[in-house]
Amino acid sequence: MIALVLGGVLTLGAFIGAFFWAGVPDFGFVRTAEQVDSVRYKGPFEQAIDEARYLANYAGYTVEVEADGESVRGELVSADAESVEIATGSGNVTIDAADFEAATVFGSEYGRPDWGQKIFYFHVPVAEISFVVFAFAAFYAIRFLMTRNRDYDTKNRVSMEVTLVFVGLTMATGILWTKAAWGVWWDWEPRLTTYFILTLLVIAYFVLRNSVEDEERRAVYGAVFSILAFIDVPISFFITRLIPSNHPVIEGGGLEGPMLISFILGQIGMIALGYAIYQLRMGEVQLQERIEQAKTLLER
Amino acid sequence: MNPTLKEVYSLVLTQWPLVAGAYALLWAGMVFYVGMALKRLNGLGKQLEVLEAAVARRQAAE
Repeated sequence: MIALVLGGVLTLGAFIGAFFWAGVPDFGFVRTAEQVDSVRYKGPFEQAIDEARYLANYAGYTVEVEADGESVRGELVSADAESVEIATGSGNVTIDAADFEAATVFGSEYGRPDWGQKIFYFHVPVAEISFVVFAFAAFYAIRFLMTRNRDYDTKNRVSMEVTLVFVGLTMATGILWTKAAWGVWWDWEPRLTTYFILTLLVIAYFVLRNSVEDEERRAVYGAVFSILAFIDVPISFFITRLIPSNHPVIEGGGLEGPMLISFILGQIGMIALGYAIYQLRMGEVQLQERIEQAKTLLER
Repeated sequence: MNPTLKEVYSLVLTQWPLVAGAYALLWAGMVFYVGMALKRLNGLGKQLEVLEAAVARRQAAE
């Protein structure tokens, strides 16, 4: 219960930190014709244009067009494949596209806030805990196969249940982040693919357990399967570091100040919650065992 | 709230339904799972109390 409260408080702290304290990084940029007062102002920009038709997107911007050996500067009114119209101090000037040589567009550049990054504060800790709890499941599976002690089988099963919860939450938050960052709900890139396989393996573990009636065989099959399935964990974790992948990778020094503190709070909180959920489920299993014992005593 | 955040939140942000959805799923999933586990734990505790009392009564009678 202490771990549950601690996990709840820390994750709530991480949530408040992530939304009300930590800043928002930039994800690309936004350009405008005129400079407006903004904390996300990056500075002026100059864009070289080599064909008249490419100016079509810059109506309202200040442009300097080189045409027929002369230079015209003013506000761009319109542009297409035929001509370019510029408003200058002395009236509008129309330049034939055939005479167009080059142009420079002037404007202001602003950082585009990466709101989707807020998902990362919980998506990453949840994914990490899914790996950690899976590691415990594999450890208990090995211990079971070494000792044939049924307690280890119970711990393995409960660990796999907790893994399933965290894997499900990782997939749900990950899919929403993918849509926010990449504009698609799913992409078969290395991390997503290997994690999807991991999800299927965790589900398959429970399918396997439920399909075997003999308790001893069920425990052995479950243990062997969870050890084999665990092989996918290091593959999924390291794959973004080994082969080209679109998935972001956190390496030392990437976060600072409020972002880092909120992220660490989220991680510790999620560890506490993972431990609390495991203990809750273990407590439930132990109570069920005591109930079975009491029933057996009463039936004698 | 720092000025950057104030401005960011005042902008029209197309990503916000996805962020809100991610947090809603995360918290709802977590609260539901923990809530159900606590409820089951409570029910099992009560069941055990009744059974252990019955066992104690039988042992006293014997």
